[in-house]
Amino acid sequence: MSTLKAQPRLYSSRESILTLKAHLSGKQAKIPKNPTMEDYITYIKKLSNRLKQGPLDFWIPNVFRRLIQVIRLMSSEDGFFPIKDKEKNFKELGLTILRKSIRSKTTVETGSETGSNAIQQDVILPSIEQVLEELEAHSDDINTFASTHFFTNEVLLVYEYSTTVLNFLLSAKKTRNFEIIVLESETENLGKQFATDLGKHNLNVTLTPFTNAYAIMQRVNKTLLGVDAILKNGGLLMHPGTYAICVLAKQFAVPVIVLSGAHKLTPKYAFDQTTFNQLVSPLKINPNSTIDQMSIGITFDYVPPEYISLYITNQGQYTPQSIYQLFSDFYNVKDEDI
Amino acid sequence: MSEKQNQQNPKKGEPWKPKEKFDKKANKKKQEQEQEQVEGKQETNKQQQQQNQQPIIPQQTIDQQSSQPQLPINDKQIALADASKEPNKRKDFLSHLPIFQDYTSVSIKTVKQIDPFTLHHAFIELCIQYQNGQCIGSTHRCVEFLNALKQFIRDYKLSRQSNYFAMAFLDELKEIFNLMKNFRTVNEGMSTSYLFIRECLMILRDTRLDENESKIWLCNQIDQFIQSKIIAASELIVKNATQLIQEGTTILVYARSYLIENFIINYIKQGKQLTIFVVDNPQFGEGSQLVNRLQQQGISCYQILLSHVSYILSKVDKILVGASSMLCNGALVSRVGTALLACLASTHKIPFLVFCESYKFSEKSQIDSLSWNEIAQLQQGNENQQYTSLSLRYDITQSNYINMIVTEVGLIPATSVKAVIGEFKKYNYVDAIEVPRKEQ
Repeated sequence: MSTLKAQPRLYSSRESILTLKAHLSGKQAKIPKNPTMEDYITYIKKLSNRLKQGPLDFWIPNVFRRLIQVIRLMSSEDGFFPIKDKEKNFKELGLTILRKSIRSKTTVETGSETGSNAIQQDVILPSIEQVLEELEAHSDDINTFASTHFFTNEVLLVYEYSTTVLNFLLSAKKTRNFEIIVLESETENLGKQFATDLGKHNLNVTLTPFTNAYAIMQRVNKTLLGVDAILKNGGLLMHPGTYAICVLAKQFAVPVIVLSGAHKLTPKYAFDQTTFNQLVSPLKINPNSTIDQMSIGITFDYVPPEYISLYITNQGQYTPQSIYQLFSDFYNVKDEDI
Repeated sequence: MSEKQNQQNPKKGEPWKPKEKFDKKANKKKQEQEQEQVEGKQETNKQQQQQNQQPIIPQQTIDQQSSQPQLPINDKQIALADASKEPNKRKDFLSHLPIFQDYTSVSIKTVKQIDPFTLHHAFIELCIQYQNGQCIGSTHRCVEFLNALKQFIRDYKLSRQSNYFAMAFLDELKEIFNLMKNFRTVNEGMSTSYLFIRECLMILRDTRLDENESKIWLCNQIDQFIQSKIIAASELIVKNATQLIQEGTTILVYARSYLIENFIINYIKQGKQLTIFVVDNPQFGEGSQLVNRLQQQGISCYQILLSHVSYILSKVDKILVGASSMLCNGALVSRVGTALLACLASTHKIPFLVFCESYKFSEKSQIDSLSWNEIAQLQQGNENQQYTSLSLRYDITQSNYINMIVTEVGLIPATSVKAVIGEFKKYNYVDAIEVPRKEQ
């Protein structure tokens, strides 16, 4: 989805869902003749394994997990999970209506081979549409909370590029004025890019290098972060440097707010910096690296849950202590091995 | 016009003479006039009118960094470097910090024509080096400054009797300092050396030495200062620090410090093992300089960026950091980014050691990094950028993050800085200064 990520990926989450759709519609999928729900699910799991790029690719398995969960819900008889808020309620209503229309179709056609195939397709294709819609519209749902979290003339701290945060700030700008400080990491130009994109919309933006973080933090009222992955214990995986910022924010009692779509929820656990991490090529950090002066660079920073104040997702607002509830709604426990 | 330039522009090698009239009042008036003209010029800048041909003196503080377009070099104007254009709301919270204009050597030479108290060429070279970034690091700057001062002393010639050498030179010193403040802030080491030289001049005033002898004595005193306060101090610090660090530890170093470099080289030459991580600051390039110098000595180390430091903190035993100065309330003034490292160190319970000579101890106090700082000029200044960039040079680390300071007087906690300053005040900064006697 975001082409500005540090590591370019072959498939974005959205594209991987579209490939699944293409496979199914083009009838190239290797599915047995009378496919049941389980066959489809195993096929999807295999596809996610194939499209995944390495053990640190969380995003593709996440969307496929979500897809499987939606399929399960759609095809089960009584698939209501507890109602949380009105918007969700309406979504479920939409699903039940869809489900009923499908069921009405099946009563007409009595399970012939092509019929049952078509039925499965009628369950799976709508759920694909549902997931795609969730992916695209997650920003709008997050922005509904935009105005409730800021006061006027506040100073916000942001780190590196995040489209979610960008949209959030642009929608918050309509109601009140604030100042933004963008920290930029030393290696990439993402910070500069973010500052220019924000500046185009007439926001008051200051760009500082990462080393000035301590000096600047005294002036900051809130920190906004985008994420790469939210872990099941409430921790975060993000661009390297985030851990240092969160430690500083705790020292200065600055609240840290994390914005993300729910497709970044990853049902895994980590406890230190090395669980999900990977060293990058030394030449990326310092083109003059040799064996004697090796440069070390990492891909992710793990932030433990105690440094974070609030998660704002398109499924609602959660604290790190309660975000596990969202996992049980969003995914199914059976699919966590993808 | 060109003849005038040749007359006033002293060639290298010739002794530098001040203008004959030591008329303070006249000079003051002229300076006031010039200041008014500069302010008037700034107003016209703000209204974005065309520049009048007025002489401009570099000012110490500028209220707002107004965008000043590049001017043609006349014999009365200084070419101002193209400061980056910013929107009007720039730096509301940092408008109190001094901003330095970029000077080229050509522009400084034009200054020499209009200002009677112009800088000696040694100082000009030094100031340009300060601005380019060729001469950074507190010890390096201080030593280079003292060397330039010695050269100035040798070339200095009084037109009057030698009794007035001390007082005349005191005035000269003040003027030099004031002018140098236009290029970069004067760091603590330089201030201490200035106070020391002033003490020497006070002593010199009471004795009866002629000009040459007093010059020689002064140069000797400066040499002694460098020897005892910088070179001998560094040896003692290295010796003290060697007791602290056992063989085989992993240390983390930030940016480049003369003392830490010496310490590492010394330690490894003794045959002991160390794993070294150097945290680099790509904006100033100091980390990579340190790595290169260590590599020349045959020492291998790992290089890492400040944002990636969280990964290796669990493997590091000690953190070593150099200092620009230590303040009276126990705070450390050092390269920007040190406070971040100190905060992380305290969270992970890693000892944080500071290497600092005693001549860098200061009587100031400061709590946060923004109330006084120096803004580092970034090379790129986009005219169309819609954001403002900000980049500081120094950082204040609070005393509760510092575990120990290694100085030549011993290993002291951060809170004892005030006591050490008090001790040194009794002894003129370098034990007792020898009273000069006439040579036979």
